[in-house]
Amino acid sequence: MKSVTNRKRAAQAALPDFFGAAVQGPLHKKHGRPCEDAWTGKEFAGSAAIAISDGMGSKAFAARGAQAACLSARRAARLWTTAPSVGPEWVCRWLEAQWRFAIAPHEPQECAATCHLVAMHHQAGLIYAGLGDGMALFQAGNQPVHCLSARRAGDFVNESLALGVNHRMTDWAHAQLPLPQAPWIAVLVTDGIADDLRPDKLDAFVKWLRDEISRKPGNKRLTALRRALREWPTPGHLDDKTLAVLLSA
Amino acid sequence: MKNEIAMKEFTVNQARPLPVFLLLDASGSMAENSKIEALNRAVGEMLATFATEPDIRATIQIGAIAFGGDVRVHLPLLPAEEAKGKWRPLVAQGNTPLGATLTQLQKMLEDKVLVPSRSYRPTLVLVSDGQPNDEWQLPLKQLLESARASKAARMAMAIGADADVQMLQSFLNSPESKVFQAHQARDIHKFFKWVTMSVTVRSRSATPDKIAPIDPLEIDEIRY
Repeated sequence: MKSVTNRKRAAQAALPDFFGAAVQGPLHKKHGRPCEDAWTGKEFAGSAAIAISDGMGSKAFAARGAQAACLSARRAARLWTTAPSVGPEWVCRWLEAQWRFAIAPHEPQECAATCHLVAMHHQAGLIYAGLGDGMALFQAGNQPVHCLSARRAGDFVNESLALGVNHRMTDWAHAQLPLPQAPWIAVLVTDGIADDLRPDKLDAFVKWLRDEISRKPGNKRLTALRRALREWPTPGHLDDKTLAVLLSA
Repeated sequence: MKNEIAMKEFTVNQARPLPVFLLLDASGSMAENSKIEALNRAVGEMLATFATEPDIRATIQIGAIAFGGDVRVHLPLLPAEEAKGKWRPLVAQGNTPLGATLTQLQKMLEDKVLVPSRSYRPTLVLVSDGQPNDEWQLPLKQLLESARASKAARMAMAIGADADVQMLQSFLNSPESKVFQAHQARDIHKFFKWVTMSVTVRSRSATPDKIAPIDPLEIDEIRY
């Protein structure tokens, strides 16, 4: 019994930190619509997960769809932590079914939303699953930043796969990584951020989150992140902006 | 302040591009009835208008492929202000290799450095006064079935009575879309005013990716 407790304690001690924010973009501000993005972060016994979602702007219940996507991602991640030998493709299936229930009684087409999830288990490592626009980045130690997400060949702005839009299970991008030695960091961003990031500066972006934002204490971290997203420097940016970070303690 | 400096380092400092590709017939027949002069004037005026557009929502970018004898990138895809400075009048010569032109367009559209994924949906403009003299059906099919071109807004103008209107119609997005028919030189000017308006309406819009069709026959009712 004692050894189990110690293992639990050890697992708890190794639990990563997480934070995130979703802010309303200038377009929704102008039209008096709420932020239609969502994010979530949750720790479980010996594991943790973050998720983001971007509700498709043209849909009546896009915000509801995004919130439901994050809730479903959290539930799917929790289930995965109870059986981490099951691959991420099954997490996607569970998430899809959860989302369909979470948006009821609305129709899926009215709630279309992208979804990206990263979950970590202290023994099984890290999984990523993503559908639609957005980006997932991972960095171990000082190695180069690695992009886990995929983008369709033909995409232009606001052209996305999503929950609630016809798609196949093979449209989900997923990956599974063994848990590296600390420090490591996983970052999820919606396309409001991803589309404006310079591909040659992803390392600088992750470094800024790790060294500048994550080290701020308590509420100051959240305030700094929200402010940064509200004061996004790219001219003419319109979209809501959402970001979630999971990083080793 | 520290955050602002850091963010400028890793973010793009230009509004999202709104690319416009012009496919311009510069075959020998365009020399007749001052068609090529009218086309050169109209494109020049369009570029001048685009160059003065504020790029608050979108940066208008223009590129032109000329087909007359051979196929050449007459104007590389550039922000409007730069494009205005680089524009040189077309010279009419040779035949009408449309198929090779469409293949060149597809190559440019699929170049993700030239047309990044953050771009708004492009506008493709095809202008011709005659019959293509190479195999164009397959290149057109491949272009229209490609992921990127299929999402683009497409506009077409037939100049004179010899233009292949059916071919131009098949370039458009739907059977309801109309080929603009230019019977006189001033109609060429009118068509490019329509193109200019369609693009600037999008670039000023809060939602530049929405393509609202404007009937070219209603162009006379437009006020600037």
